[in-house]
Amino acid sequence: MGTRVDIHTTRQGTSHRKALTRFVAVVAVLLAGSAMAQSATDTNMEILKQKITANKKLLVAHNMDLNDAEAKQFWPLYDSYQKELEQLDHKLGKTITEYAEAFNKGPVPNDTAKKLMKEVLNEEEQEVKLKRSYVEKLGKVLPATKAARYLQIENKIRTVVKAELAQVIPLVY
Amino acid sequence: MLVFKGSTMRILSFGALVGSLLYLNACASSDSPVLPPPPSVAGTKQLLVEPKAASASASADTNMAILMKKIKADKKLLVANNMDLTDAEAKRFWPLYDSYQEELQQINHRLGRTIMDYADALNKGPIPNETAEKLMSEALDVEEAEVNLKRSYAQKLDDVLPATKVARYVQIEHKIRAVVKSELAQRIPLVY
Repeated sequence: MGTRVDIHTTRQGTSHRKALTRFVAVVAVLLAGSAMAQSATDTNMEILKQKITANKKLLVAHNMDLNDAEAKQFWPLYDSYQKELEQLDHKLGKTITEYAEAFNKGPVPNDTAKKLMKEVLNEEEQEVKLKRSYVEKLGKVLPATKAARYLQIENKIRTVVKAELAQVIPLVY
Repeated sequence: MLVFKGSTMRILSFGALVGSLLYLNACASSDSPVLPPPPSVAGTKQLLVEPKAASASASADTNMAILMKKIKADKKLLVANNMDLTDAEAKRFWPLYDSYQEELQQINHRLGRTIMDYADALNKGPIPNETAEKLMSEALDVEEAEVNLKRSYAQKLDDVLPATKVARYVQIEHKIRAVVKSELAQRIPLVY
């Protein structure tokens, strides 16, 4: 079996590597919570989300090693990608909330299960499409290694979030 | 915090275990891809496979084959335990399950090959842009293929099972694969 490599290679050394590990774990837990947040904690949740957004941007900045020319073209694309991801997260959050409501009422009816599953599959498909479209956009303004690295960073974060969500959401009965 | 009331999840205790085992599975092949340690650790070039590991690879292969068989059997039992199928449903579900597993395995192979190519490139030093582009495009293709496969099987299952059971099966697969994906993403180093 392969040697176990902890997280990623970075020229900046161990501090950023650790930062990414820790950040990913924190984001996962918070986003999993955020997707199910109720109105009582809305304000705190909003502040928390702003902090997460800022942390994520700093994390990406640290790991991308962009020169000035690249940075000028990269960050606007980054921001619009984040907006589109946020819209997807909203849809996903809504689907999860709907599921929780149905689940709490007792056995989930077949037509509800069908509808929710379809929504989840649609969202998954949209996310892959969105990713591909941004890879193409980034490919025009960054060298391919940096575009790939950015994609990896997003992937490290989102796969943890997805795994957390998958583990906390119960099976339908 | 919105919670799911009294959710019974027989699968949970298993999820992490199966996840890490399937991760091994995804990386397994006769010449296992070994991701190099970060260059920052040592400036010298790292060997891809240690000599000792290479000489033991024949017996490791057999062990890996045995392990993979066990994982497959464990997964099937896990699905069986969680699906509560009637006899009529079971008769139609399992053939679809088996063919889905075969197609998933092909996707895993593609993914494993891509990871191996990446490990090879990484061991040679800084990755050329064209290699990065090729690997990234492969990774995206594999991801897309997996989503498409999932949708096509959700439709096939819909013809033979009530929708709640279809959804439950999709959830079980998703729980397992989400852990595998996350493990892979955390262990594969960033490209430089």
